This record gives sequence, C-alpha cells and structure tokens, in this order.
Amino acid sequence: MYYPKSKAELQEIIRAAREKGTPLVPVSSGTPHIHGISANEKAETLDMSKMNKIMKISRDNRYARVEVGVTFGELIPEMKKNGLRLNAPFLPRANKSVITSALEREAVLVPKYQYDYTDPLLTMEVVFGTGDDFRTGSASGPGPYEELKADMVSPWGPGTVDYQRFIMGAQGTMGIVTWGTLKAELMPTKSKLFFVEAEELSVLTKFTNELLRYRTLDDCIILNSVNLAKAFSDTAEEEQDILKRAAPWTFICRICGFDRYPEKRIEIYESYFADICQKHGIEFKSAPFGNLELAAKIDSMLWDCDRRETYWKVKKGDVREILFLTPPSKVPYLTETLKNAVSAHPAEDVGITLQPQVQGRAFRIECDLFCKSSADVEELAFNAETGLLKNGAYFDRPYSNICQEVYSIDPVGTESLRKIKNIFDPDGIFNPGKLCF
Amino acid sequence: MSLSREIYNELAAIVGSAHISDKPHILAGNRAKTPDYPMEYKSAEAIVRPGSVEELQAIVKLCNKYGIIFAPMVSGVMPTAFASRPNTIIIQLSRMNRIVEINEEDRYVVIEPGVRHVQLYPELRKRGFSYTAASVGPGGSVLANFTSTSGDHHTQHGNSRANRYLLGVEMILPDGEIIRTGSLQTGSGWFCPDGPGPGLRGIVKGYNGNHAQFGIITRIAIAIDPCKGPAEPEMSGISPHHTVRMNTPCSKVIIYKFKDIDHLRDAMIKTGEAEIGSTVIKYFYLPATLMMTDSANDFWKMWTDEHKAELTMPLIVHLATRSEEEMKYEETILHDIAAELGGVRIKREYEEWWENHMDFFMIVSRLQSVLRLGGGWAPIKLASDSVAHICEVGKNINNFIHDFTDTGKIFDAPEDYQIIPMEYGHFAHIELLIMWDRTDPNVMKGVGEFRAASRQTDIDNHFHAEMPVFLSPGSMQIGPLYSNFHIWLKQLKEAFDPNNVANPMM
Amino acid sequence: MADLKKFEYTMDSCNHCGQCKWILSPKMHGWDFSQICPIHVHFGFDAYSGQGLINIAKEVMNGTLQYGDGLEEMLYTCTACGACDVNCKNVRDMELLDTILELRAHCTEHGALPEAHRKTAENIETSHNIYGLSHENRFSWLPDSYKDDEDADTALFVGCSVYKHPEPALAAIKILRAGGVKFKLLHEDEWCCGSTLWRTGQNEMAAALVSRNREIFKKNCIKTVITACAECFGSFRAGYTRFGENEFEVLHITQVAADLLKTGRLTVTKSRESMRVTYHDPCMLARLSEPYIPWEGVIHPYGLHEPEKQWRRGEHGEYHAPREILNALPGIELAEMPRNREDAFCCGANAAGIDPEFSKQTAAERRREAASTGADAIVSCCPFCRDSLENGSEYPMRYLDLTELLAEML
Repeated sequence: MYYPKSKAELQEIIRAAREKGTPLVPVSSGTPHIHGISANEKAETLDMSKMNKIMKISRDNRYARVEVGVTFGELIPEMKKNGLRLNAPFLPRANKSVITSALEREAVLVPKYQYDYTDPLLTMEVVFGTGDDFRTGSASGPGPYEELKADMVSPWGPGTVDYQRFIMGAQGTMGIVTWGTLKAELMPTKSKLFFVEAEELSVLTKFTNELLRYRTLDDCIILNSVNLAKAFSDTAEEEQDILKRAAPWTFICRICGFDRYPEKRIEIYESYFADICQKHGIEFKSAPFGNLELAAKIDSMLWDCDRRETYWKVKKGDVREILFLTPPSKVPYLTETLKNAVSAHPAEDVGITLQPQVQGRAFRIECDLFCKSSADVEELAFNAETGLLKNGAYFDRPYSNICQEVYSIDPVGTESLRKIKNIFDPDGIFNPGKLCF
Repeated sequence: MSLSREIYNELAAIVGSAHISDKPHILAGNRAKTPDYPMEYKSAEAIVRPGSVEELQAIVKLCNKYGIIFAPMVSGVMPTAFASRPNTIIIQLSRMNRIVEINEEDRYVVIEPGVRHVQLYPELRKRGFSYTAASVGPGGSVLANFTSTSGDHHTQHGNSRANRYLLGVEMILPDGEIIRTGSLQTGSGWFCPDGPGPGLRGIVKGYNGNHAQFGIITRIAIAIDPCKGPAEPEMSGISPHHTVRMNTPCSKVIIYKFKDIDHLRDAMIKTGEAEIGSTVIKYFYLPATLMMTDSANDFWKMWTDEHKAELTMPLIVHLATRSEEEMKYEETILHDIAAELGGVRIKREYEEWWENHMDFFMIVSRLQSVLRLGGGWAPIKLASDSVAHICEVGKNINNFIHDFTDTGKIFDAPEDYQIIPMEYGHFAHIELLIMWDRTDPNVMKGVGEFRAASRQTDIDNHFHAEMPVFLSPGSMQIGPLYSNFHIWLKQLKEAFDPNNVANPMM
Repeated sequence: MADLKKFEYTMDSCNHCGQCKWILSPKMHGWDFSQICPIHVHFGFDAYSGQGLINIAKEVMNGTLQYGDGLEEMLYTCTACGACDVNCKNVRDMELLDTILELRAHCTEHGALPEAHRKTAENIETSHNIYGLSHENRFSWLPDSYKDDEDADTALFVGCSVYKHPEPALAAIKILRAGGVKFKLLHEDEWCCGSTLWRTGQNEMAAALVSRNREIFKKNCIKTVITACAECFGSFRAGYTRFGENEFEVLHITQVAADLLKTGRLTVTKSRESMRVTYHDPCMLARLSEPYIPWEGVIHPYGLHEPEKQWRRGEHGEYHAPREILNALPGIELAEMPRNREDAFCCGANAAGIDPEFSKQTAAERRREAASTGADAIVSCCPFCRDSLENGSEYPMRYLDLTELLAEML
C-alpha cells in the first residue's frame, strides 16, 4: 500500500513499479466497496487519499481545484463558504473523493448545468503509466503549473485530442489523476422545492423531458419509494413509514433564484413549471404525501453529502448497483425491463433512482439491490444487466462482470482502446487485466 | 508520383466513373491558392466522390494497400482539405449528404459530412429546434464544424461550444476499419459520446478536430435544443439587402458600450451569474463594420472615428425569453448591471442593424463579408479559459499589436478582438481577427512576425491564449510548454495510422 | 481582346466560402433545393462552380492549364446564369460571372469555342436568327389585320424565339393594344439581339451586331424597345451596355403590363379556373438584367476601388412585375418556389447545345422544385425557359407563358 502525498512521490512510485513490474491499483477514498471492483491479486494499492488539499476555490470564476483525495464531506462546506455549490451526485458518501466521482461520470443533480457527460470536471493533472505528468485543457500550458496565469477551466485539448476523455471512466487504467478543476455554481439565494407523485414512471419521463428541454428546473431527480425511504430516513421506523406512504415514484425538483430578483425568477419559472404540469395533467405538491417534515429534510439534504454514520446505501450491509444510461424515449421500457429482471429480489430492497443528465438528453438509471452481501445477488444482477444490454441499455461504466459482454460487442472499438492504453501505460502497470481491459 | 491507371480504375470501380476524375481542369478546382494561407497546394492525383460509407471504406482500404495519401474535404474552406504532398487523392464527401435522423424526443440529429448549415438549420428550425451553428456561413459542413473546427459560435453564452454537442460518432480509421464512439459502440444509439469506460471520442476531437489525421468521420449525432424565438423568422428583401427579423416581444437586442475591457468583463460575468441572455458577446468591430456595409469602399466610408468609438467595447446582448414577463425580468437585470458598471447604451441604429439581421444569432449569413477587403485574414489566439483570464489576454493584445498595425504589416484596430462567454460565463473564447494586404508580395513575413509576437507574448505572460493544434514544426517546438502534447499526439497518430496515409498535412 | 488579367483580383480573392454554390441563408428553407449552381448540382466536382471556374481562369491565364480534354465543353456547360455571381456579391467584392465570360472570350480567341456555338454564330450571320431559318419568315405569324402605329417611337422586339413560339409575341401585341400603347414592329429590320454571341465570348461578332441593331433603332426613331422575350430584354439591358451606352430605353412586356394594370389602363375582364401556379424567374429578366456599368480603375490594398465602382449585384433585376401581374389575375394563386428571385435555379436551357442530358436534368430539377410547391402549373415569360421546362418526362408539369396568360384574360 502506497500513500503518495505529492506528484513527485507518485511519479517515484510509478517508476519503481515499472522497474519491478508491479501492478498498481489506485484508490482515492478507501477501498471501493460498491462497484464490485476487486484488485488484481498481485497488485499493490495506491491510496491517493493523502493528496487532499483544496488548492483553490474561485467565487468570481466559479470553480474549485482540488487534489484527488478531497472528499465531498470536506469540499461542500468550503464551497458554501465561498457562495458556491458543486453540481454533485445525489447524496454521495461523505468520504467519497470528489474527483473520482467526476472521473467516473457519476450522475449529478442539476442537469441544466451539465453540458457534457464530462461536467463538472474541467481540467486535471495526470501521471501516466510512463511516469510522465500531463495537464489537460487550458491547464496544459504554456509553462509549468505554478506560473500559468489561466484559471485552467477550459476542458478541451490540448490540441486535437481530448485526453480527458481517455482518462475519465478508465478507473486509473490510463493514468493516475492528482488534481482536478471542478465547475462550481453560484449558491442560490432562494429556492423552492416541488414534488410530483406518480403511479407510473412513463407519466414522469415525458413531463421531465419537456421541463428540461426548456431549462425550467435546477435540481431534478426521480426516486422510487424504496430509495426515497432509504435516503431520507434516519431510523428503520422512519424508513418503513416512508415506504408505506410514498407513491411508487416521487419526482423532486427545485427552482432557484440568485443574487438579482430571486423571488421574481422563481415566480416566472414556477409559472412555466405549472404550465407544463397542467399540460401533462400533473399535480405538483410542496411535500411528498403531505409530509412537510420530510420535505424540509429533503430540502436540507439535497445539496449535501450523506454525513450519517452509515451510508444510506449500505444500511442493509451491502448493495449491488446496476447502472446504465438511456435517452428519454427508452426510459419507461428499460425501467420496466429492469424491474422484471430483478423481480426475484425482495421489492422492498430494490431501489431505483433516475437522474436526467446533460440538459435532460439522457437519464442515468441506477438500480440498487440492497443486500447483506453483493455476492449473493451477483448472478441476478449480471443476468439483469445482460438482458438490459440486449435491450439497448448503455453501460457506459461497465464496472461489473458485464464488462466483458460490453466490450465484446465491438472488437474494433475495444482494440482501439487497447492501442490508446498501450501508449499511456506501455508496461501495463495500472490495473492489468482488470476493469475495462 | 502520379496515380497508375490500374489504381485509378480500381477507384472508379468503387465509386463509378462519373464520380472520379483526374482531368487537369477538374483538379484545378481544388488546388488554387487562397488569399488567407501562404502556401501553394499540391495538385491531387485524382478527386474521388464516394456516395456511401461502404464506398468510402473501400477507398481508404485501397489507399492503405497502395500507400496513397488521402485528404477528405467537403466545402474546402480549410487548407487541410487540400493535397499537401504528392501521391494524394482528395476524397470529396459532398455526395454523402443525408440527414439520417431527426430525433425530436431525444433531441439529436444524425448527419453525414455533406450536410450544410443552410440545409440543416432550417430543417430543425421549422420543427422548433436549433443547434450550435458555428460562425462559418451557410455553405459550411455541419459535420466539419463539429469535428474539425473549433466550432465556436455567437450564441454560446446561453449554451456552449460545438464540442459539448457532439454525441455519437462513426469513423473510418486510417486502416479502413470502422469505429463508433460512446453509446453507438455497444449498439445503444447515438445519444452519448463517452465510454464505455474511457472513450474513443478522445481521438475524434480535442480543442479542435484532427482534420482526418485519425480517419474520416462518416456520420455524427449532434445535440439539438428548442430554438429561441419564432420557428420561422421573417425574412425579406433582395440580396444584398435582406432582413431577417424576429417580430416578437420576446426577442430584443440591447447593446451597451463600456469604457474598458475590465468593466465589460464584469458585465459579462454578472449576466452569466444571473443566467440571463441568449447571446452575450463582445464582437470585433472591424468584422461587424464589414458585415454592415456592401463593399470595401462602403466600409472605408463607414470606418470613421465616431463609428469606431461607438463599437470599440460593445457588449451585444440578445435576450430571447419564453414570456414577456421574463423579458422584462431579464431586461431589468441587464440594465441594472450596465448601470452598476457605467455601461452606455449605444446608438439605436446599431441595435436595429442586429435586429434586422437576426441570422447573426442563427447561422450568420453575411459572415464571409469579413473577407471583403481582399481575403487576407487570419483568426489568431482561438483558445478558451475563464472570462477573466480571456479578458486579460485581450487587454494584453494592446501591448504588442501596435508595432504591426502602425507599420502597416497587418490591419486591425485597437481592442478589436472577439470574446464570447459560454455556459453562462463559466469560460470564454477569444479570437483576434487580423487582416493584411494580400497584394503585397512581402506581407506574409510581417504576418508571420505578428503571429510569433502574439505567441511569444502569451508564453512570456503564461497566458493560455492560443491552443497549439497539429503536428507542425511549430507545435513540436512549443509542445514542451504544453504538457508535451506533441509527443502523445505523435504516438497516437503512429498507432492509428502506421502507413501515414490519413491526411498527414505537415 | 480578352484580358483575363482584369479579373485577377477576383481570382485571387476567393477563399472557397461556398456561397457561389449555396442558397443565401435568408432564403434558407430546408435540406432540398438548397444549391444554386446547376453545374455543381449535376457534376458535383468543385471545378463545376463559380469558384472552380475562376480557379481554372487563373490557371489558363498563367498558362498552367490548356484547352482540350473537355475543358471547353465544361466551360460552356455552365449556363452563365449568374446565381454564383449574385450570391458571391452578397458577401464579397468579386466579379465571378464577368470572369467566366472573359474566359469564354479567351477560349473563343484561342479557337476552342465548341461547335454548337460556332454554328449559332454562323446562323446569326447568314440568317439573322439563332436557328438558321429564313429571315423572310421571321414575321410570318403576323395576322394580316396587324398594323403598326407608324409614328410610334416604341418598338416591340419579338426575338428569334418567335420562329418557334409566336404566341407570346401575339399576346404582347394584344396587351399593348388593349393598354393603348403606341408601338410598331421592326419587321425585316429586326435581327437577332445577339445574346448568344456575347454570352459565349464571341465578342467581335457581338459588337458588330449590337452596333447594327442600335443603328436600326435610330433609323426607325425608336426610343423605347419593349421585348416579348426575357433573353432579348437582358441582352439589350445588360449585354449591349458592354459595348457602349444605349440610346434607347428597354422594357420587358411584363413591366409594361404591370404598369398598365397598376394605372388602370389595362383591365382583366375574364376569369379562368382557379389554379395554383409557381413563377420561374428567367435569369435574363431577373438577376442578370441590371445594366452593365463599365469600370476601369485601380484596386488599392484592402479592396478600395478607385474610382468607386457601381456594383451589379442582381438586386435591381425585374422580380416584381411578373408577380404583380399574377397577383392581379383572378383565380390565380401564386406559390413561390424555395429558390426564387435572385436565388432562382436556372432552367438549364443555355447548355442544351453542349450537354443536352445535363440541360434536361437541370430542367427536371426545376420542375421537381415547382412540383414541391403544390402548383398546377409553372409560369414564366422566357421562350428558352419554356423550351427547357415544357417538354420533359421527369416531373412533367404544365407550363404557362405569363404574357399569354394575361392576354387570355383581357
């Protein structure tokens, strides 16, 4: 186990690993336990958690630059102090690395701020398997990092290649990221939360699609009753109560106002929201099943990470996630396919979250199979994933055993990815034979 | 080395004899020197016009087999679309011009390379949609704008650069194999550019595209959004005096001028923070004046001190809202910001010019008139970072440009650069558009000196103001200053194009 | 003598922006019917376009490209319709069409003129019409009852096409009579207008014919020439002025008729079945009819023309009169084609003698566009457009001559 504290130390470790031919598996927020990742048996672990400096937060230019070990629990309050918020995933673990989350293209809460699947990660520094360091986008230069006057927020390049896209989603198989610049948004001065409850998901997806294409909303998420209950309960009783009273699907959204005329903005956007609701015959509410206390709790938790002792997803002990992306038109069909595929699992342990992404052009569908041990549900989950893949679900983060199925579809594409991997990690010291490769 | 008859016949067998030619006068149509680039092009050995992906794939495989270099082209605006060395064929992609799919529900459109802005834009507009049409003019290839050029455009304050809207890509690699990026790679549709895992999308385009150095892109999906303003703007008049208007109270052009770039910068940032405005742009006033006039002589008449003073530091804002109430809200905020920063509303006639030429905010029909002074021009800088940094870069231009404008080596005016914020001010793009007297045989020496001075100033100041692009000798020289990108680029090129047949250019 | 050097500024200014191939964006309407250059649509190679032809002109001028191997056929397959010129001038100070015409003059002087055009010139020389038919029969269609207004200083110029299509000329006579316009015909004095000659670069012959016709107008005391043919109209207005100033006014019959209708001197009395029509702008009536304005001077750096040049951009071609007439006809509903007015797509007639198949395909493309409007008929007022559009098996469509249509309803 290595704990580099600087880029220089990291480069030294990589050089030594190359010489010895020792594979390295990077982790940045403790042992990953929810994606089913198992390190190569011969590999040594590269724990990046000690590189945990918040390097810069800029209110004026709306970004934060942090080392890879910085967690949501650390960053969110610092951002808030600067009048900023991070477009973060839904209730992430407090000890989860912010950069790792972004590198994995985890779903974020405000689709209107997401222009690309790479958002909110803007630029980064990476050390490749050769030991060479590299900076992406406008962080690339000219000259050394310390002297560069740019804010390093432009994500593209350098030149004609988008290096960032080789590194994101690669889980450290291309190189080890040391820091990243994250896009930040102004902390709203006022906001209003709305809820829509539905028996059928298809009602919500069409309506969400229309809301988002006109940038009507800020936060936007759809939870089934299980995930609503798991995420926003502090006790088993509370969880059971929500589970019993909540509608099968709860749509949660927020409209925000900023420094200038915030009430007016909320009023105007609420009228657009109401119009679209009316058009779709949808009634919106200020609390789920009339529970104002729960609404207030959701309001307070939605912009934070999960700081409770037990992360909401592992209350039962473990969780096996099924994650895929799909365009809006396929959401109802694939969600139904998913539900059928996991129907053997107890219904009260099947949590489903749908998060519209990238201006609402796609939905991240996440199914959480709550369980004592993920190994117990692996076969069920794998079969579900295989079925979903055949039905057009896109496994853009093929972390589980589905990886082989995904990469076997297009051998030319997979071979091309290998060519790229061989350039940045010619000796194959990063996660050899694992994950995507 | 000219193409042998056997190879020519093999190519003809692929595309049909009507779609290939090596006649001298046909080749002459694609080898003329243009006033904006100093180099003489080589003549292609033949021009081939495939009509399908299958034909194109067969051509690329043939090129590999015989070691023939290929340079694909559509409109031929870029110098990379021509033969840079002997033994090159030009693959003209204009027959591959289908709009394959318009998906209104999932908001994307799939196109082939030959589709032009003037074709796609109205097809989408009449369906209530729009896309980020790069500021290139109506005849530009949409695909090339999204994959090869920077794709920056006038309206990116309220959305973003073309890079953000490039979804699934289908591409023929230099060896003739086909790859598909993102969700397309696993047969899951066109909607997502990334993954599975790390993405092949990385070799398609960085800040700019690679102009076929990694292969030929055959189809792309681009994201579309509901259009701002009426689906069918009112168009009238006869060339060159057309008007394109959006006659609705939910569309207004408001222009404030500021005393300096610092104040304009703050106004730009604050409009972004308030998330108002469809377009916010500091437009360069020399091109703007050219767009407002009908001839070079008209330009010189209009190019007065009074005119220049009015347009030197303008923040052009197009407000496009969903209701009159929202228009009032956005207008109030804009006026507040301007008042706080000493902004002065410019003469109404200028605002009216933009309101009569709303195509500026759509597909920029008169953009090519910026070349009316003879065609010797070049965009310099072309990079992006935060609004603040990019404004700093703009401010610094004053420190070196006068040596060149005062001596007549180039033609430009003070503060004549364009800054377009994007994603509501999270970043901005800069472009300095210089012109030169192309009738002067020695002019390119001065232009070269200006380019070098511009680059050196950025290096000395550590400004991220100009993105190195291709594997040119210049890029090799400055590559070490930009994370040694040239080394990685070279390795990628060698891995994907071992025979170096895919548009090696330099 | 042809002097390509005069157009070197144009040749060197092109940045391949593509505006010579594509419709102007204020006219954008969709994927289909978005190209404006007939040869580019048909052949596809960039050489077949305004941009390509000026690139070729430059190489010919420099001696790096020789005639032969199909170059001259290609040069004359271009219909010289001027769409590239008008669109280019929307954004640039360039003379595309004049460069193409100068290249044709150069081609002619170098003995490379295609046979079809050589033959037409011979016909004009021997029979005074483009077809080589007997000059004596030029007015054989004239009814015995017809009488000139002897003291009129206005001539109705019927044009060579009257051999094939006398109806428009008869309709023009009816309109002028009904409107109380005094006019006369030139009878045996009327020779070909010479359009084919100057448009194909046979400038020496063209100059002689222009001179001869001007003398004839003078001899007959003609101050105004009304043409029944769009080609003659464009030739007198835009072609003759290349060979000196006109001392007579030129009007097309549709301009006269529109004015008569507007001022109440002409009344439509009859009605006909309701019909949706579309109007095809003939190049020589529309974008190409602006008088040629000679310019000689210096182009200074950054495009400053000294003395100032008056540009011909097609803006003042005749677009309104035909539409005013159609809008005045009861039961007629006008539906515009996507490519209209200055961006109208040429019918291809001019290339019929060089590449008949291309000419046919181009006409078919125009009929397809006409059909896309849902029109029952395509209306125009040029006999050559008529020849091109009327007879085609692909996308067949009824053709109506505007002059005849109006005359029928008087």
